[in-house]
Amino acid sequence: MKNVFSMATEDTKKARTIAIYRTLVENVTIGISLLSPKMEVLAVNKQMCEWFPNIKATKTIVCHRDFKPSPAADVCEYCPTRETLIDGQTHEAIVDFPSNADEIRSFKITSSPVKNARNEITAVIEMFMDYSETKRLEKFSENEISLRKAIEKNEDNFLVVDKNGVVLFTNPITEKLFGSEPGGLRGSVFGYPLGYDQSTEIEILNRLTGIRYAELGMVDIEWDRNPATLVLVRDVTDLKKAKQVALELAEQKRIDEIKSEFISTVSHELRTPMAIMQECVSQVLDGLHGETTPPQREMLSMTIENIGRLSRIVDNLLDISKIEAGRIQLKIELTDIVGLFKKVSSSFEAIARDKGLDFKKTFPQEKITIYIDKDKITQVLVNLLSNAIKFTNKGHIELWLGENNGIVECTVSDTGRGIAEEDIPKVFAKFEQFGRVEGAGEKGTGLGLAISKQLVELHKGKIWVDSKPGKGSKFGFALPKLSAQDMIREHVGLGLKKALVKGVPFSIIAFEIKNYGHLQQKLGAEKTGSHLDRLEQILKTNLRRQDDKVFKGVRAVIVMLPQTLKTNALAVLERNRIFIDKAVCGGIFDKDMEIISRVAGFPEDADTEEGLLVAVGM
Amino acid sequence: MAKKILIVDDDQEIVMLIAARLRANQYEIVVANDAVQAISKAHKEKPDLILLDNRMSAGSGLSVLANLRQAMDTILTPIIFITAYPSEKIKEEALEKGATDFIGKPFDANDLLGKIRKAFGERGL
Repeated sequence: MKNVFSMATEDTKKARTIAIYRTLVENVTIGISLLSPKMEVLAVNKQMCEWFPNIKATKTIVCHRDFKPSPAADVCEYCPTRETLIDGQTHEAIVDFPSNADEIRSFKITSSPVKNARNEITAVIEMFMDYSETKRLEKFSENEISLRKAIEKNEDNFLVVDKNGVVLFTNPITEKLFGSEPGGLRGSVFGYPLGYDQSTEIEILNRLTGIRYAELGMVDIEWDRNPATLVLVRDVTDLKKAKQVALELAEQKRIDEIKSEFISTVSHELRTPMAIMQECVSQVLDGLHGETTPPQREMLSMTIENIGRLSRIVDNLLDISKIEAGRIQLKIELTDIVGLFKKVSSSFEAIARDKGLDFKKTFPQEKITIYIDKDKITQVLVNLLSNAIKFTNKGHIELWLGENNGIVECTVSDTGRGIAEEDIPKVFAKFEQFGRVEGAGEKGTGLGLAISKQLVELHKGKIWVDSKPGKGSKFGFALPKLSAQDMIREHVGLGLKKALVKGVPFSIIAFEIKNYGHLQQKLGAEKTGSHLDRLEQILKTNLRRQDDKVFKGVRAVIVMLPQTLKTNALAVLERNRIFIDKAVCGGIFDKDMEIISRVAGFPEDADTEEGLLVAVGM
Repeated sequence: MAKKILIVDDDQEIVMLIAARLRANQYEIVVANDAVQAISKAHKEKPDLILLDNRMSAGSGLSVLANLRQAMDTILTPIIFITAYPSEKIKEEALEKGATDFIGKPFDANDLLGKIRKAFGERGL
């Protein structure tokens, strides 16, 4: 379209050409204007008039004077026509003009010189092309590209689906979720129901990972200028599992409560008649209701003894049913088991010697600290020691306690009658009393060892027996030394379970002595250990609620806050930090001590104990 | 002057036995059979010590305990809590609510008398 107007207008052929060109020019969607070298508008076509209604093809309009390119500017910043008039070449520019309807339109303007035979510029032809559409398209492409990039990189699952349900676009992670090969979803029908304004839950059968559950969310978008749907796919499989676990726990809790109610009722019902019998007989024996003869007193004494035995059986039964119902909660504390066993065994020494038996004890030199329920493990030791004494009439009882490879072992040996080989498997069973003739003293219940076995196994330990008839018996049990980390994991896990069941938040804060090693070098192991103890103390005293707990680790202390949102836990952290800083200033802590504190919460950060602990750097 | 002991238990036989035992030891006895009676008699008779059973019809011993500890004239009265199976949980709860001591069922008479004497001794009476 360069030389639209020919200068030789007399030629008929040319006239015809001109006429054709004129029609074209008139009807084309490109705006064309003809300017003089003084930038007077000589001619404009229909499109130009449409876009710029105030342009008139008169010699009085000067482009840059009368036709303002924009409300603010006087001249176009870069005028291609001016450039053409200067160098006689074709120039292009993209200029924004306010056109009709107050719109600012972008135009691509191409200016070409019209030259005469002497190569002088006699006119300039300007061609205006509506660029706004193009610009919009370019921008759209840019957006589309960044959208695509965002989708590719995104960790969430997206699909773009057209109105017929055909997948237009997706990212690798989503392909994996649906068990498809790369590119395998594009072009296929999505196949899952797309309801609007609701989130749908779907089941995805993935050959590799098994069934996954996902929540779909729908958003209307435009894709390649066509209406489409952006489908957001959220994998809720783990959440569903967690909810399932929570429901099971709640059900378990309900069952436990029923069992507990039963145990409590039975307990009361059995004990009341026993109490009455005991007190009745006891009162008669004590002479409250008149004189009694010696034979009568003997009868009554036997009665009382057996009521006592009955009572012990009921106690043991309740113990066992509690354990089996999972209702026993161990009260785990860091205990010096050597000290504990020394204390317990000392009372048995006297009983043994009274019976004429030797009592040998072997304890290690140093104390052994282990996480156990003091009362329950005492119960086990008492059971083994009293059995040994009961079934041994001469010889000795030997108690041995030691540690080996992170496992604490204890054995009680006696020189009693021993147990026959076929009876050994029954030793720890309930109510099995076989062949062993009991000596004088409290009669057994047949449940003691069964209970001991349960208690030891609740501690994740083992119990066993070595025995030969006539050669005596050796009972032993082993308890693993759980590390502080194991204990913390157990407690956090328990707290998290409770939170899941109740549907409430749960947060933990870890206060770690960052330069523990440095402090050990500077102050020695013991002083550094006591720093940790002091930190534990401070945090304990600052606890506000009954269920908040503090646990000491190897170089950190964990605060457990049930029913606490992460934001509130942060406030607790701040409060404690201020306290700790004061303590450092006050000389309670070495000024070199560096403490870092981190918070993690359920559900904000994780829904497993590993997740929470990792989030606080443990 | 004889010390007055209030026995709270809905079981008539137990009440009769404990009463016999305590009378033989020179204590004066008052009886309540349920939670409501327990509270009203505690205020009316002003006993020097209360033996409170945990399980009764119409209200648990724990709630009676809590109630008595909130009233001015019973806030200091020694209360021995009788419970069939003194588990850790019950003990903790009772202590929290203000029980002075515990005794299980069946109980040893001497044990009970000892605890009663101790409760009086603690108060310096």
